[in-house]
Amino acid sequence: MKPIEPLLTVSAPPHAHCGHTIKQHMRDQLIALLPAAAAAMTVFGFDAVRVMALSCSVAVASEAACWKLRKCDPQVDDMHALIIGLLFAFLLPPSAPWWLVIVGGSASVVAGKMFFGGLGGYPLCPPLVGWAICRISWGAAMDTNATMLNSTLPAPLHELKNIGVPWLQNVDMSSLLLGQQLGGLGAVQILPILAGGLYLLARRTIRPTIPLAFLAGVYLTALIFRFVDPHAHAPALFHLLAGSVVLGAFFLATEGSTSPMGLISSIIYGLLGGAMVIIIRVYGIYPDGVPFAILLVNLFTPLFDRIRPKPFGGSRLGEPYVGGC
Amino acid sequence: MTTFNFNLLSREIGTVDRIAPPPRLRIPLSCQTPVVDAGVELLAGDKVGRALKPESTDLHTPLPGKVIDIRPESILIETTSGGTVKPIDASSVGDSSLVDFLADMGICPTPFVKAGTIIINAVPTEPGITVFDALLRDYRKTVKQGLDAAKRIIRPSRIILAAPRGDMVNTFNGCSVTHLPPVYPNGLDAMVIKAITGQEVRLGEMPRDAILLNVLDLYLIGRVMETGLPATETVMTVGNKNLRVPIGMPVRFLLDQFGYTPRHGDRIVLGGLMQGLTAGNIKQGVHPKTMALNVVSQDRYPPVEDRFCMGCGECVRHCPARILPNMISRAAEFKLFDRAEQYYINACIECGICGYVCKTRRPILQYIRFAKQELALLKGACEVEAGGET
Repeated sequence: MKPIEPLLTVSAPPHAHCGHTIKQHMRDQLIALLPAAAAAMTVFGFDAVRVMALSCSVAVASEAACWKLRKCDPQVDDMHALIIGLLFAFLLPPSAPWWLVIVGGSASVVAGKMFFGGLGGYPLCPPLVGWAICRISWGAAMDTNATMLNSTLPAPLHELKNIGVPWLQNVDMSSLLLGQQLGGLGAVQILPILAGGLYLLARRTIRPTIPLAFLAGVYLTALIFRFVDPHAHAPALFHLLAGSVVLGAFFLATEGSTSPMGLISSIIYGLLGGAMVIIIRVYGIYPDGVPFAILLVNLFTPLFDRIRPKPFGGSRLGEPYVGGC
Repeated sequence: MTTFNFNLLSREIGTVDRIAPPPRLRIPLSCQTPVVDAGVELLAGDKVGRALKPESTDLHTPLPGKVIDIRPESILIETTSGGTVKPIDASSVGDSSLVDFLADMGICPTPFVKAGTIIINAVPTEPGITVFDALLRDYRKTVKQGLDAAKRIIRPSRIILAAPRGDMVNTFNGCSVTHLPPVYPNGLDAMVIKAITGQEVRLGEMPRDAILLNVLDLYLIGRVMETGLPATETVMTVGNKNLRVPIGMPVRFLLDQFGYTPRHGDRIVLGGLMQGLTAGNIKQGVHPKTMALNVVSQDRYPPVEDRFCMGCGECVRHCPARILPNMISRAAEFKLFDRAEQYYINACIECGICGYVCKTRRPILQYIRFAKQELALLKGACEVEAGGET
């Protein structure tokens, strides 16, 4: 009897792969977020754990439910919903009531991601969509300063808005860097977030262009305002370290399908986003402009993506090549 | 993490060895029509397939044998201990009839037009393929003869050898050397032409006033000139060896030489890992342009998946043709071929880097080729003949 021939795999090239998969991408993101989560736990205690755990589980559960409704194989195992949930929690005050976390966490996933077909389809950074819905609908509950009255930590951006530059005299920049401020529970853990961001850069999970351009945009715009009127505007370094600028630069503005792909377009995107942060902080009614600034530049992404070099062989459609003989 | 990388200089170069004749040959037909019938006894060098298009080549049997079966995609020959056809003295062929002579001997005549520059590509087309280096070292005289013949037809004013930087290459008389960075895809035809002439020549187009021939092309021409017999072999890197393999050599026989037994789910790749074609089964024959044989086990790389693009943009950042593989693959996925064309799909040089870096493991190059095929059909091309799958 003839031995059975092996059944070979037939596929299109390439037959090798760089090894970076979606799972690894998400795992890297999660690892990068862990230090900030741990720092939030130590600073805000059980309240932070409560918000993060609830937000993550709601996000995962609502994505699973969406896949179920679409009658598709659930893809929650890629951990993206978990990351959305965690990032959304990072933007909330530790005092956030349970219903706010549930509404926001599910809105991030359902309205921010699944409405657009899932991973890669959404035009806006999903956790920011949930944040914006909550911020506009329940502004009082989302207000970090007003809901954290029993905390001894200052809320620098609120104080800047309410009291003005003189208040900044008793603010120490290094204490801001160490997270001694009120804001989103994870977003204000500046040092751990920065470490996570550098980890992502080292793992090449994200490219340095957008974070650097974003931080530069914040810094330069703040510098210009400061230069124009030093008595009315805070120093540029303060703007970098207060609120969720660092979280936005490394984790929110870099979200795959919502950010441009080219080098030049990424730089413009980052700079504009950073500039928008300061403009909102100076002229807007929201103390921390980062979420809305990123949502706004997300909308510009399709426009920036039109900045492309000429394709190989020039800008002509050409003839399809279907393999020579 | 994988050990595969884009360095074109990474491996030691094996000597060029011959290989024992197989009991059977399965000569793949791509654009040829068979000119023999089942049952015919053949001498080595007898013509078995006639080219259907000007850019395709005639096929000859590399070994004496008896035709057992003719299939739409291949000719099956059982090898015997017969003789060889009478060689033609190539030195007696005049310059004017040289093109026809070579075409009759199974050399593709497309590059044989008058041009100012001959570019000799000695940069490995893909990582791990060391054919060019090995031929330049072990069959230098034959390559030189091929170059002389090409010069008689093309009549160039300059000859440039493109070599990978860091590689000591002995050039030929009257031939200058240009070193290119030894990184994939710099060895692909389009990239070499661009580096030397500055022209961006798309697939299926010819450069202006320049002809690109790689070392294997020159070697095959040289063989014809030397022996007066048709070109019926190719040179392949298998493992860390280089082998002169008769076309139609069954994959199984080649693997047997290395003591490898294919397992279920293996990918047997004819060519490099970036551009090679997979064999449908282990009986399939080697086709004339094969330059490597690789086996990829099922669990070596993450499996290709049917997933949506996650928009990370890695393919766009790495694309040497500066197009948007992500958008093209999305368009092809939903049969929006006109939109794929608007995204300059025809600028794609099919290097495969997009699929290599894709985090979601989408078969991007397959989507691109599919869309190109559909566009060609929409433009009125006839169905393109299938490759050598059996």
